[in-house]
Amino acid sequence: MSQALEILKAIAVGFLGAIGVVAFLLAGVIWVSVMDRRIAQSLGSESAQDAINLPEQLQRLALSLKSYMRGLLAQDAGRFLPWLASLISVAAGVIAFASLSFGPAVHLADFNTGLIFIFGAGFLAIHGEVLARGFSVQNAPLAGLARNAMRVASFEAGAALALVSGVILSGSISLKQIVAAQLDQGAWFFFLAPVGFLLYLASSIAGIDTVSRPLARTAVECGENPADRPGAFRWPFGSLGATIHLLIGAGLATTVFWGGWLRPFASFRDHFAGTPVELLDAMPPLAMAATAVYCRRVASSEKDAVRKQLMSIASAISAGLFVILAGVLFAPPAAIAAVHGAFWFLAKMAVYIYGFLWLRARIPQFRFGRPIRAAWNFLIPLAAINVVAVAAALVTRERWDWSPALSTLVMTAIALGIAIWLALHDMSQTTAYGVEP
Amino acid sequence: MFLDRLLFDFFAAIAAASALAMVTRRNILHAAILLLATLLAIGGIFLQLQAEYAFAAQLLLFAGGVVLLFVLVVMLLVPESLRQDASFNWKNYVISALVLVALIEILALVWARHEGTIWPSVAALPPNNTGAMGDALFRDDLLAFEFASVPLLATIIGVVMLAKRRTE
Repeated sequence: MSQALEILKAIAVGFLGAIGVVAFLLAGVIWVSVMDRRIAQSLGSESAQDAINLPEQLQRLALSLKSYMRGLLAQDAGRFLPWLASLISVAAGVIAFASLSFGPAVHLADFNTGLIFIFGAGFLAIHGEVLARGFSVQNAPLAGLARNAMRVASFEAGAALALVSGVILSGSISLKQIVAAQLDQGAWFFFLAPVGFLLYLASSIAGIDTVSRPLARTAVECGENPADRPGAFRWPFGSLGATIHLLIGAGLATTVFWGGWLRPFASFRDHFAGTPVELLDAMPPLAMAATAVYCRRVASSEKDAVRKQLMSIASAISAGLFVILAGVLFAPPAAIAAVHGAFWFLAKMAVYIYGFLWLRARIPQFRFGRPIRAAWNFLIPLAAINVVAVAAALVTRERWDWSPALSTLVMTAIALGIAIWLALHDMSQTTAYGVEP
Repeated sequence: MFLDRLLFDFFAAIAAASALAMVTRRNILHAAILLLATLLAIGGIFLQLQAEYAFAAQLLLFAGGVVLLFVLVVMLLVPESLRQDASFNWKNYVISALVLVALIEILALVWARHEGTIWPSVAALPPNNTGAMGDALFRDDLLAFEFASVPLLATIIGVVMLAKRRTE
């Protein structure tokens, strides 16, 4: 009997967790699409000609899911593999996302080998991309498949090498221990390995931009006619997987370089007089209260009815979050750590994603040859050098008692010097390569 | 405990079924995807035995790397007509027979050793076995580990040489 209960409990926990992850991811995908569109609009780029608002995004996502499910259920022999392919891509993303730790105790799966696992899932997703392209676009040149896989793999290699600096500094490949190490050392790894973070950012931007575009852009770029929209939804679903991978990349960057669920100034631990509540734990509720007031103000002065409604909803959500974040301050410290940890993690992720989209919108998209050459001639060598530089900084700190600031500064300067030399060298070599393949 | 057993049976069933399906498919692309399923199920068994490193390596190297290579090579180099080769080839039967003999041998060995041997169980492992493995590879047996990397280095150099010759 107890065995049956045990199994039921395990299934229920897994099921609820899975629903939570999927719901969260879908919300994140919509948010990313809306943000991407807003950024494109603010740049006045041509792909932003038709403004897409939140309700339309929701409708698009629903249609996309509908046609996806219809395809899965059809079981047509010729079409089953493409659907399986996009299923692999999305499922790999969901599984990888589920293995992120959102707080000291907020996680679904805690592996010792979280970092490798997430990269493994990323390679699984490449399967999905390759298969989906191979089957769904009948007239796609096959060489394009290999190029896309190669491109993703190249930049994933660059991103992985960039993350190694975090592994060296923390001495672990467990995501929780990497965050714990940042608390112990009193500094986020961004400040100890800035070059590593920049390389990671560059690799993620270059690796993700042509293979996959967020929902909003793809539909426009496919020359989609509003009249026959459902027909175009095979592509958006492929890029749904890609948007999920953007979210995972943000989660990894937050964990490894931005201190995960740690609050800024995590080692400052003064308390409110006579309470166990720390002073800086007042930040999240205050931030949410300010957001709620701001959104309410914007809503009251907004002319557009839909936007007015959206801002009111945002204001209400912020107010709700304020209540939760402030209320938990009266709970035991473990609860504060969990809820506020999740808040900080998501806030950092949001900032990272916004910066990512902002940068990507401003960086021109090159065709195949240039990014690949940049990856192998510049990014990956520099990432390897950065690994050595970070290790050397660690040695100078531990053996010669250099201060963290000095060792980081010296080693960053050396890595940047080599980066400049590599870039100049690469430029002088450009003509020797002749025409791109 | 019972849950562990159930999970093991679940993954083992998937692994065995998709392995069987893999060797009986005519379409080699389908076979490659079934191989992926087999490898993932075996990875699940590793994870369930708390061999987290083996699980991650399985995912990254075999499921992610090797099978991806298979899929790409099949899609790029094997024409559609050859992907469903149904012609009789006696070599296949010889190879199948050899594999069958090897399989029976392994099963016999497992069966013979089954009595009285304590199989490594989860409880007997060190609590942080990923760390223990890192210690073994990078401290206790560093020399052997580095020797093993020499062929890999030779392979990398060989690949670079082949690729260079073609472009110049």
